[in-house]
Amino acid sequence: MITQKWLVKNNKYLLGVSHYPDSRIIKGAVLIFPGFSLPMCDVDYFTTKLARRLVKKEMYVLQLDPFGHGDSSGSLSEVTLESLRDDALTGLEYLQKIHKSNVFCVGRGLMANIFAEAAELPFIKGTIGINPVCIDPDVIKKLWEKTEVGVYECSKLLPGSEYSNLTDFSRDKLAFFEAIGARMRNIHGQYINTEIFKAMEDEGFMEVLKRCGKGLWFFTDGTCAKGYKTVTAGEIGCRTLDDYYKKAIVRNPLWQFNLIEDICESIMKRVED
Amino acid sequence: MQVPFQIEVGCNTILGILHIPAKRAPGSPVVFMSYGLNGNRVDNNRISVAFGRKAEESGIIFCRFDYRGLGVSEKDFWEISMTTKIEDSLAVIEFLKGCMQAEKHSLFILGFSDGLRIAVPLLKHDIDVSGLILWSPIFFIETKYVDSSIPKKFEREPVSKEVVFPFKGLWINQKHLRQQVVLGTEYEDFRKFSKPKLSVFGGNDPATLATFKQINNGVSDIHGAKNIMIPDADHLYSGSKWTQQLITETVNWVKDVSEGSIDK
Repeated sequence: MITQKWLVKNNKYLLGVSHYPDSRIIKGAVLIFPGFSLPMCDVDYFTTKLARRLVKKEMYVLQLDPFGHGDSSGSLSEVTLESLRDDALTGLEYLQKIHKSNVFCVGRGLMANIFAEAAELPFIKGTIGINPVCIDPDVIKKLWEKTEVGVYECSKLLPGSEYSNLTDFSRDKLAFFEAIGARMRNIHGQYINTEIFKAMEDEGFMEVLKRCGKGLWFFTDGTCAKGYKTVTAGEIGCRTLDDYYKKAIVRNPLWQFNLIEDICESIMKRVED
Repeated sequence: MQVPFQIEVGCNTILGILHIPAKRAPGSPVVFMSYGLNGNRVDNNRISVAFGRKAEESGIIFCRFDYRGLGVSEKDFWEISMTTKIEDSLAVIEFLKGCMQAEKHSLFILGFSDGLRIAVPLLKHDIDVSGLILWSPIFFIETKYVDSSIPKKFEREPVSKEVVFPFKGLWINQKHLRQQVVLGTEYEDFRKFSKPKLSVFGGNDPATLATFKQINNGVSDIHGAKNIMIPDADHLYSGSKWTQQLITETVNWVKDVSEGSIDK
């Protein structure tokens, strides 16, 4: 059973879709965030597909549009790391009322980093990230050093118009946008505050991934049989921009199906622990 | 006011959003949106949300929703087809008419890109449409612009074992794929539709060039048709300047066309 709901806090109106198991038995609750700038269904409805598989395993699932995203209030230009942290907390506090001990979060790109921080909350049992941003802060600094902090239309930050093959975009900047979970076709006409990039230059931002003992990170990796690998906090290391280029989400239904299956399995394993 | 709604079609839930203006005259317009093949109710650059917000300010009700199998509505993409999308649209329109009850209103259908493949067939149904809006319509396409991701090799969907074709990160079934690649009588139906029609094109959109030429050449023969070209815009109006123009032109046209109704 699915339903829509508004979560209202601090004059922000966040739209969510909740999935409730038909059996009415709830083994746990999961909050899902899409890639940065995308609506809650994400690319190829990835997060919706994930929510459906989790609910079949008797998990309560909440897909949420962060502030400035999808059907929620605000515009993308108003989104900061702080607003994303607030939105994560709003969703997680809601889930805490649904299930006391088995609360999980799943995010893609930058949202995975936000959830790595949220995992420090005692009631969070686990967090899963799909290609979280794990780039050397100096690389980010160098990439945007000529851009003053401010609000820009994305098409001005990263000019280009070949959306099908992306040949006329700067490869590194495009890879960076993909790393945060954005898709050029979706973000190019929106405004963004580059304060977010500045905040990601902070050493501590990536460090959270390394110390997040409750975290499990999935990274695209063509050398693995399934096309991705899992990494835990102790194993995580910086990746290159090229590691994200056209790889932040693989647009192959079988890749997505297998990844979703593995995410569900790892959550259910922790539920049963 | 942005009101989430949900209705049931074939035991599956469809989720949508209604934008309702704070001030609205009786008989004011209702715009119903149908988007392209694998879109969603928010759509790229949140263009549908932006249109909804502008519609609210302009006294227009705007309805956007996810078809079954798309966005956040129930079912998987590989289970649906153009037929189910039309069923879903009719169910949502019936819901809208139920909400309006005896209150007079004028219904406009908005088809975005290949959303026209749903929007135009809807005109044949008994739903009393007052006007048709097409953003980046594709009635004709040159082969070189046909999407290279159209699948050729089938696979089995892992759970159901149904025959499906990979399409980007989704699976699409045979019927849907066939319906998608064969153009039907949409252009003729568009021409025959006797009520006002607005078509908006991007000036830098090769995918709609053939359609633009065709419609523009024959515009005098097409009753009630208006064409607008937004200079330099791409197929999805991926620039705030283009989006604003698209939305303003559309809202103004809807207000002009339905002016009589609003005054009542």
